[in-house]
Amino acid sequence: MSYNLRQYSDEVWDRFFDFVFPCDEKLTRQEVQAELQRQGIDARPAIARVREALEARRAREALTFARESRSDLLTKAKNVSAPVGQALRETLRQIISRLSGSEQAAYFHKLERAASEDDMQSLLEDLHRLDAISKDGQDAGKSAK
Amino acid sequence: MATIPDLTSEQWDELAERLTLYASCRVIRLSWRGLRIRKGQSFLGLDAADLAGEAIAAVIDGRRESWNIDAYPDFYRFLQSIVDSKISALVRSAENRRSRTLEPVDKKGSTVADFASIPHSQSPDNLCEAVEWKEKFRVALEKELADDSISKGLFECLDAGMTDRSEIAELFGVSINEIYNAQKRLNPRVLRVMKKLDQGKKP
Repeated sequence: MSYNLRQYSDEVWDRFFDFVFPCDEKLTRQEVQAELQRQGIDARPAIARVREALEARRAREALTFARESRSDLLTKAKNVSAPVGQALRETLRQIISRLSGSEQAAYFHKLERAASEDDMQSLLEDLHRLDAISKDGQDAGKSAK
Repeated sequence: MATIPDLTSEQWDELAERLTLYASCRVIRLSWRGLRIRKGQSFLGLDAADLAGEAIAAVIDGRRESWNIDAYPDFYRFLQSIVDSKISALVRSAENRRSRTLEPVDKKGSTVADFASIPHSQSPDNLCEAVEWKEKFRVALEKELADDSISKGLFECLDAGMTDRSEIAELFGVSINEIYNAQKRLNPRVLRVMKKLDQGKKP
């Protein structure tokens, strides 16, 4: 059979490659996977990279949310005129619940041991200091970038 | 935080697969014309999954400019434009050459990234290498496909501007499935010829 593919222009060859290696959006997911397999391409590293980026983003969002809500509560606690007894204890409990790990455990322990209003006011001051340190650390991290 | 669409993990996975395939097709399109990253190194060696994964991750973690919904209502189109510009950057940074910027995928949906124009703007050395490679590839593929009844007719259809699979099937008097099967059959054979030539082997 006389067969001369060289006679065709580059444009025709481009169409040939579009035909043989389709990548348009009309393909179903199964077709995309089959096409990848035919080309000997493993897409798992791409999927893993995307999952990793999403995970890191979620962690950053959670951290930002926790910091912001803790600061909000501290501001509220500061503005409440002399919250006493059970109300102050409840406010402290909410603030501490936004901490994490050993820090949270230590503050819950302190709250349980706080018998008087003075003890709780002192605990509130501690938490204010912790928040200030945390903010400084965050600002330093930002400026370092 | 950079704006990203609200997708399920399944949808993100699918996006990564789709973009990997897109990157691979772009790379193959650059390769068949003999375009080199640098002398002796073709684009076929580029990792499509790496290109796609990095493009998406850069948008998610905000390293890349944010998704402009007005310019790209379709997030996938926006990602395609990032892959195109990554490949374009590789072309531009290739040694001893001047290169025209690839146009990113336009908003309306045309995926014509003008890779075709690149070889003409390369240095004479690279251009010679590209022309030589392209000629060898055509000869090798001609031999490879000599026994394939559909491919000759297929080139005639494509030459006549006929690209729709159902139209091609009708012209051949075969079912559309046979055309899909032809595509599946041709795909690994074409790739094999390209890879062998790339490694300096006789296909």
